Amino acid sequence: MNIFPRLFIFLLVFVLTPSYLNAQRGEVNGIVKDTTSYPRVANATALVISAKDSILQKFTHTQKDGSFKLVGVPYGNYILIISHPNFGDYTEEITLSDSIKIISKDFFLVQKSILINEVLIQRQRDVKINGDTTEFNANNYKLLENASAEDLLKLLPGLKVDKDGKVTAYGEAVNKVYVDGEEFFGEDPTLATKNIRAEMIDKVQVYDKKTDQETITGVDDGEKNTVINLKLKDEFKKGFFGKVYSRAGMPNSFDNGAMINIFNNKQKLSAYVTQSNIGGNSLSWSDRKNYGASANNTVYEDGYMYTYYSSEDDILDGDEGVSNSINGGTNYSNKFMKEKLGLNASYSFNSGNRDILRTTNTRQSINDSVYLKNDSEQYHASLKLHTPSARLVFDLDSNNKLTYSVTAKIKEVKLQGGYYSETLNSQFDSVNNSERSIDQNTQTTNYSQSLLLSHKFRHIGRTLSINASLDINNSAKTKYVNTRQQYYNGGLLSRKDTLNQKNDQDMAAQTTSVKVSYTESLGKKWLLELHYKPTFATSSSAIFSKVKDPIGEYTLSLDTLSNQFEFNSNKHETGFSLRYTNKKLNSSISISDELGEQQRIDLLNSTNNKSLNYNAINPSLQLRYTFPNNMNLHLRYSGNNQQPQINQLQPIKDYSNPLSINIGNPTLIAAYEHRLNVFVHKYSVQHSKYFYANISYNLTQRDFTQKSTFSNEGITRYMTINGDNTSGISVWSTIGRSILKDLLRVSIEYSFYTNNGNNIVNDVKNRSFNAQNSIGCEFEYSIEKVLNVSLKYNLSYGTNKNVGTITTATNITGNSIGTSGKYNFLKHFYFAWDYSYNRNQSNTATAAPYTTHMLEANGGYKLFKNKGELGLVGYNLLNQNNGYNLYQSASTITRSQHNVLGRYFMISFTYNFSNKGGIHKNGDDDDY
Amino acid sequence: MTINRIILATIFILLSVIGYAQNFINKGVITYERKVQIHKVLEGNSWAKNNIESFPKFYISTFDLKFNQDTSVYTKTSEDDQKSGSWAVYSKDNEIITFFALEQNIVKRAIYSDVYTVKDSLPKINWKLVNETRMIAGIECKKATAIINDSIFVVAFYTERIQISGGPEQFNGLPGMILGVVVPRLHVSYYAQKVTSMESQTTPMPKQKKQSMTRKEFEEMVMKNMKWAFTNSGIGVLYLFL
Repeated sequence: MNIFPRLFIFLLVFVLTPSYLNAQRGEVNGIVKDTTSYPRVANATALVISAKDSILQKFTHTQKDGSFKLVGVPYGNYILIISHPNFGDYTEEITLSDSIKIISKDFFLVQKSILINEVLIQRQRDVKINGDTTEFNANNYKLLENASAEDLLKLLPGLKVDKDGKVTAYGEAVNKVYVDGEEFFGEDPTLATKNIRAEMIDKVQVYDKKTDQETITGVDDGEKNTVINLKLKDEFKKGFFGKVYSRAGMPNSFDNGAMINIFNNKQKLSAYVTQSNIGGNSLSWSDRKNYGASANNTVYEDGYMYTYYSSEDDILDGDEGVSNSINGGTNYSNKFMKEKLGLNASYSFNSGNRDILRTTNTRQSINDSVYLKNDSEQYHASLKLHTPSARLVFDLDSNNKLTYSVTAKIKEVKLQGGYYSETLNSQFDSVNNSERSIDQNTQTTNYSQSLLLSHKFRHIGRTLSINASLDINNSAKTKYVNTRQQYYNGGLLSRKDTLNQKNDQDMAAQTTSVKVSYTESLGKKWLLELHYKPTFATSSSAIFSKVKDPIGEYTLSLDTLSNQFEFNSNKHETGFSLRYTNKKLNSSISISDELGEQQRIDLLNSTNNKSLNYNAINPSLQLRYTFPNNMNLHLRYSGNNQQPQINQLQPIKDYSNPLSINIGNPTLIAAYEHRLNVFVHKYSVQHSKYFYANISYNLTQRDFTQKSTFSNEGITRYMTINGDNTSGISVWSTIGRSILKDLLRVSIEYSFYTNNGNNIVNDVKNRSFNAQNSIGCEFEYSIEKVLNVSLKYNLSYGTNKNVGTITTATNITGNSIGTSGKYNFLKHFYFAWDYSYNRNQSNTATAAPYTTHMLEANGGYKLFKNKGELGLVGYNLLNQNNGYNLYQSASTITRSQHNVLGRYFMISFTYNFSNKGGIHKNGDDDDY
Repeated sequence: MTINRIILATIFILLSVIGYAQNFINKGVITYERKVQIHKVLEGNSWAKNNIESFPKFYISTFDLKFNQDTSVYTKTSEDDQKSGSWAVYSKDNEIITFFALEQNIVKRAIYSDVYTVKDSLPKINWKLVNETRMIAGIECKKATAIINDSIFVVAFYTERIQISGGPEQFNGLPGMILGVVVPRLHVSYYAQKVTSMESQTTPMPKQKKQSMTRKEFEEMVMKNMKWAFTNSGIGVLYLFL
């Protein structure tokens, strides 16, 4: 009986044969039910895809009783998806392992009629929030053929575009728009938003831009710099596109321009030219920047620079005036050496003229007296500006990278004009009046470059980077000034001053800084960063004032208004940062110590030499937490030492404005500012619901306070002292969603701003409190490609309280309502409008409510297969644009008015052209 | 009483049939349109490039897939004009019979004048599900992608309303019927034009051909005899898969 061998084999087979089906494999089973009507869902599909690469592992269908079984699923991490055509998908992350061999439960599906259909069926409608980047899928928004990127940005929740094309994201201004990660005419974002077409864009990313060095070290300094990146669709990366437009009107207004872009994957070449004389309607956002004094200051990393500004230089800040200009430029970018070397170079020029006519009325309460000041000004300015710049990124190898960038600004501004001002007391008697006329020519050159070398060691997280930068600013100004002041006492002329001088002002400044940063990872989640940054800044300024000699030539030196000095500022910053990151939390804490010295040398009078030393500690903390369901929280805190400037301790005497004299305060010490900011945002795909809130609080200890004495002649002498603590809160929040089957978008915006301040006038302390509340709502209705209408209403209430010897309080209530839209009809016609109405009412007896009405409209016909548009544009149709501004502060109310263009019409023609190399028509295979 | 019951039953049956037809299709016919971009195919070929204009831009043909829950039969029904000649040798005379439960198929393939029958198990495709949808023939389809033959990328769209893991050519393995397939590298696409539910349709059982070979044997034969097809940007794959 040979059963033993058989038994042996039998046992061998059954015991030793590994059961492939059960080892290392698990099972998912369950019953699929409906949340509402029928209890069981048959014919649903249950499948598992691997969590990391979405590869389909197993699938099955539910039986009539709703049950299913997925067997033989290898251990691992998966996403379980249960779906049925009439229900919304159910997804769940699951893991099968030795400890979890079987997952068995009930699954509930929600009927699609309950969930809004569009959201689920159009799966592409998603917004991804990843860290601090919000990415919108542009494919969800259907716009007309030649709609620009700007038109697309207007539809994205949280983004707003104003009439001039300036974009704000979550309340923060966006200063740069990148195209496919590259600079595109870096200085002016509207060149990207107005010229890149919406149909070319695949995704729109909004994020906080870090500097190159921050990107390598992984630690950022907490400064917010919101930028937008337009990622293009692959088929549009090849080909050319552009537009030509021409507008002309009576009597002599014109606005023309052309732009062409040639893209060939890695290579991009763009060029544009514009010519316009309707700039006064709303001075283009970029033109404003070009004229402004801010263009004189290159942004270099917090180096101190002493600059001597006479009051005229403020004239060109702001957006007043009527202008004409010619602007143009070209931008080139390419990648070489198998994408190791990237180059982006651009050049732009701006040339134009601007005429400003402005009248201002100010009512100032000084303790118990009231003074009225009336000014009227007229200026003509002309500008020539050239801006070449380049940026090189070189990946030497996978561990070493070099980034170099250089920008130059060569500018010439000519200004001629005059100013007349009078001050009256409450009895309308003259206190003083003055007249000034100037003729000046300023030439400035700014040149800045920076080089970043970074090295990654083999040990992950260990990096060393060195960033060196050099900034040079030179400016030469020649100014002819003619002034006459008259002072009155009790209504009678008591004193008269006249001066006719020629000023030559030369300024040169140079700042060099190097930041060395070393990072080391301490485990998977912690990173330590150490840095040292010395900055050396030196500047010199010389002003030569001359008056006319007996022959009438400017040769006699006027020493009281001439000076020559040098200013040196060196500082050494050492610090460290500690960063902790896990899946949901990204946080860092930094402390840096700043040791500095400043020195002012007066080359004409050494008694004016002054130096100071300081040591400051600046901590900062930042936190970013991602909640489930697309909600993000950012928190930032920083402490900053506010160093007084030498000019506040001991000023150089400046007699260019005899009515306002700065006396120094050598006992002034540093103030300290605490800033806290919290930003929350959440987005839900259903109904495009979103919520953003940005809350900031700041507190300044020993804040710099102005102490002034106002004489009977109307001359103010002021100095800076350390005053009480001041604080402020600002809140900006918006909530919105789509209703009525997603056709109507509603949003509500609420903002709140409060701060307090001090000043001392004639030894009486005045405390001021400002608060401003504003609430508004906006409705937007759109029918794809046919109609876009928006209606907004805003109510604001501002109070201003000044507590001194008397307490005064003023309130301004503002109401504004506006509507804008565009309607496309009869296939080829279009009509667009923009109307706004504002009413500001102040509660002071002397102020009457002020109303403005603005209406702009245009309409036309589309030609050449919708590539061209021929139309009529009307600006300021109600002829009520009058450049009115109302400004209120602790003790003053200022009303000003400047010149603007009146009503006018133009005939406009636009032609868009493109040749998409590699583009496929509908139904083509590659277009999947 | 019985009449009421009969009426009720009929209504019930009708409702379930109608309901069924609206929701799920278990038996029917799908007509696919296959489009080949001739110009793109010829781009790689040096001497055809010179007279590329003489070739039409597209080569269009239609196929039918008759299916039920057990089997499907895929055949060609019409063809575009013959001008494209032998350049569009994409499964000219394929006929594919698929047995879902057994996970096998029989592929009848013509290479020039020879007809081969290959019987083997269904090719295993590792599908990656993508969170996108598209409408094809009026039906909402979900998207999946895969790499076949190690390097050829394909995109497929399948519908859960037909819970059969079939599709045109040898494409299979998704939780629903594949209504659209695109092979960008080879410039060819298959899209369903019409889906007809035929509850009464009985699919014919195909006759078993006596001489058949396994896929491996077929692959080896093709690789050996038609090496030139593989040097031309993977076009050889079409002899094996499409």
